[in-house]
Amino acid sequence: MARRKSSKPRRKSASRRRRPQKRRPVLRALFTVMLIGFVALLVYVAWLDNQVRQQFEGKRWALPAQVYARPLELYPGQALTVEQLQAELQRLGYREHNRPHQPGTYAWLGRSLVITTRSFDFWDGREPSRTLRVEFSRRNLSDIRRADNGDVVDLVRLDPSLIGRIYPAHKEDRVLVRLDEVPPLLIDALLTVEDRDFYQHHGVSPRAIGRALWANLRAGHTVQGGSTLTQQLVKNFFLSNERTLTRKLNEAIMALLLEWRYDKDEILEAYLNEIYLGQDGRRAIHGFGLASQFYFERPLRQLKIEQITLLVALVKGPSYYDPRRFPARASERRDLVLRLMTEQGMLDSAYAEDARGHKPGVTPRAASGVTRLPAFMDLVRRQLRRDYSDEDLRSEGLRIFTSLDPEVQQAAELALSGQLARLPGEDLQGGLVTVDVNSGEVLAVVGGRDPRFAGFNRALDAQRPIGSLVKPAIYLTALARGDYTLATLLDDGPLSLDLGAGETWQPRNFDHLSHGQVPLFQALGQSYNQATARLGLALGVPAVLDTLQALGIERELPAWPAQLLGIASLSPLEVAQMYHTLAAGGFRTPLRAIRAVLTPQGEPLQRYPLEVVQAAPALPVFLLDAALVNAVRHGTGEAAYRSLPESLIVAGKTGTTNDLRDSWFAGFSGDRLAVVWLGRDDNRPAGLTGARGALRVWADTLRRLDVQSFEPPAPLGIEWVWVDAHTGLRIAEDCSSAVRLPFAKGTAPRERVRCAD
Amino acid sequence: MPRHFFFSLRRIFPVLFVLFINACAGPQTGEESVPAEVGRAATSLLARADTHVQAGQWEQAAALLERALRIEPRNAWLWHHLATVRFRQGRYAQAVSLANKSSSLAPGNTALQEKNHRLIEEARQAAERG
Repeated sequence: MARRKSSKPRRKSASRRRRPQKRRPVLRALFTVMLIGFVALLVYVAWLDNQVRQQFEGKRWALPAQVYARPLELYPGQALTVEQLQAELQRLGYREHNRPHQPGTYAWLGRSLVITTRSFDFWDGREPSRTLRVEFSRRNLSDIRRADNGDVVDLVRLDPSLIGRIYPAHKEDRVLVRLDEVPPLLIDALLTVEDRDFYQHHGVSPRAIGRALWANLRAGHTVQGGSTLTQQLVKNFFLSNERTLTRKLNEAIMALLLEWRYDKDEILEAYLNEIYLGQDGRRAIHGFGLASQFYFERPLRQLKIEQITLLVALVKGPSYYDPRRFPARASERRDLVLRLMTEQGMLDSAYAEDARGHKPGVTPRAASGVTRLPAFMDLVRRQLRRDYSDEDLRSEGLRIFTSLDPEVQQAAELALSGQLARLPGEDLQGGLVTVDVNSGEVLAVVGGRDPRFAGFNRALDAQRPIGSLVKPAIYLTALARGDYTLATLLDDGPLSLDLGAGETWQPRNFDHLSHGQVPLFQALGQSYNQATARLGLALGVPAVLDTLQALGIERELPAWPAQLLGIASLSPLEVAQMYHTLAAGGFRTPLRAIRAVLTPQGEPLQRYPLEVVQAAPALPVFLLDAALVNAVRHGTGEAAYRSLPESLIVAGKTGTTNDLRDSWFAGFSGDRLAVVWLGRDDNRPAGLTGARGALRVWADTLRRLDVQSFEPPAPLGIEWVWVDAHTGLRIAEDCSSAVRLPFAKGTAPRERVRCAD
Repeated sequence: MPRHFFFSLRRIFPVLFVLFINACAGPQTGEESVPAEVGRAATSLLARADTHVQAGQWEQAAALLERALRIEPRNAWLWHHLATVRFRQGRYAQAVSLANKSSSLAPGNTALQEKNHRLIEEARQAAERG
């Protein structure tokens, strides 16, 4: 008993001590869980806050970045004509004046020019304003002197022309509007239709949700949404069509956060500039400013009632109510907007009636973009996003210096649209890239037959099989091995390769003929598929792909035999990278469109300098380039000389794909490289070989420019020998079949052949 | 006092650095006279680039050399200068590539070939030293 007694209290006391311990863990655990939950929630909300704030801040822009073309440098001895300088002065808006003492004025006195330049802050310092006298000889700028004291000036840099204004942190074009520039009627209509309580709610409107629910119940289907403008804005930031509860919840929290952080007008302004209002191919139309251009080709403040209400009608579903594709639907929705406005007393019914009677006047085709050079700007935008940090790009008022050469751009545009107009098929399209051979800078980009049209950018995005454009990589692989020369005989006989699984690969020549034994340079020049495929198989497909990669093709290509005939799909820009390495003697330079970016304070952002990598040894590249010169002079590119002067030396290669779907030409002079693709967007046959299509555009582009011959310095250990085009043997210089070709010392053919004629 | 010291050090550092580089018997191109085959426009840029080189402002120097190269893109001397700037910047791989580019443009110029060759050797050694 005593034991019991004694034991009991002990147990009791023990249990008393233990009981709270037993309970506490539960409480504690509960508390901990709640605490963790609460902290997690806080963290989550903070994260959402951060997300939405980043989006919001990133989308509030006032000053766009200014984008400049290359500045024109003037120096004695420069190959520059009076006409070229005059054209540049026109682009820059210099004015002719009797006494040209003001910056930006000039006067011609015969062939000499008196000019007062504008001062300009470049990334490497200020160019001061100076009054100068510039003299010309026949084809050159011969002398520059200061007008006041006659001192010789070595170098003058004109200010660059402004080619556009962009918002580099954004993928799309924008035409931003400030709240006070927006017609009040637009805001009234928008609030009436989308969010009547906008100025009252805190981001989420239970009243609107209730009203929408009621309206939807009455109608039996969704006729109204309960989302506030703030919620719609948030939704627009994180575009996705997912319709889950979590998403809705996230949107609601973010809407509340936005309202907490920013005032109503800021949110409304962001909404007006951000909301999605249409689609133009890959290009999304965001904001009322751009939508106004896109549908009506006029600025927002010039729109009439019937147009403003149409834009508001589109908010609900720009593709469903697309006024170009479904005009009836769009009108019906617009009439609903007009009715709601009169019901709410926002619009006099007489005005509404009048607006209803008018067609909104949507332009038949999507208007061009906000820049005159949509394709080049597209490249600038991509390189900015690739090479600079988002944070830097968000700063206001950046100045972006590009390598665009307005003269080259104009030549390329005229050549492409001019030649396309002569070829059959209204839907025949094309893309063109022009690059400076020496610097690897992109000088011009044309994205389609209408160069002002900001749609599909074929120069960058049309990925098409390159056909015979791949061949130089095969021949370079051979020449780099050392056991092939330009005169090595290749077998062009029929070829059949067992691919296994009962499949065979039988490449055919374009003319369906076999040409027997042909010298290597002829096989390339005449673009013989059988000889090339056999050579490629002997070298090994992987070795050829390695060469392609070294030349600058970054895309992973499967090691299929068909790669040897160019099944790889590449864009004109990628091809330009590859051919640039060939034009630059085997030195690869990443193609650049941007020279420098300056903050408004004049501080340069991190610059991407000229870089070169020796991608292929100089000697075989020199040999290959000679074969490519021959390919234009005597091979598939011969037609180039219908428009180019005989004396000009250029190199290049045609490309044609199955059923004549793609017409390619890639080639270069000593200073300019251009790649042209022609074809149809839907991939139907274009009916053109490389020579009949793209080559003409290429030659026309070069013809319009004052280009230099391609005459690279010969590496040490090169000798030139006259060989017979048929046998590859030495032949007398005056034979009609004689071709002068370079050889590495000791590898030239020894045997001689007599003239056939 | 320490501030003073810091400032003065900062001012003379580029000079010290150039002296140091020169003492290392590195390729000396920045200081010598410009060869005759460079035109006047490029020469004026080269001279400006040199003042930046003296101040250790490599990027400014490189920007001016690039500008000179746009005027005379095939001038092997300009490529050599750019290679030298990259070498001094410690960007050895670029120095090698640019020196090779320079040599490829002047196959007959043994003096320049020799300079490029030395630059490449030194860049390789410097890269190995890390």
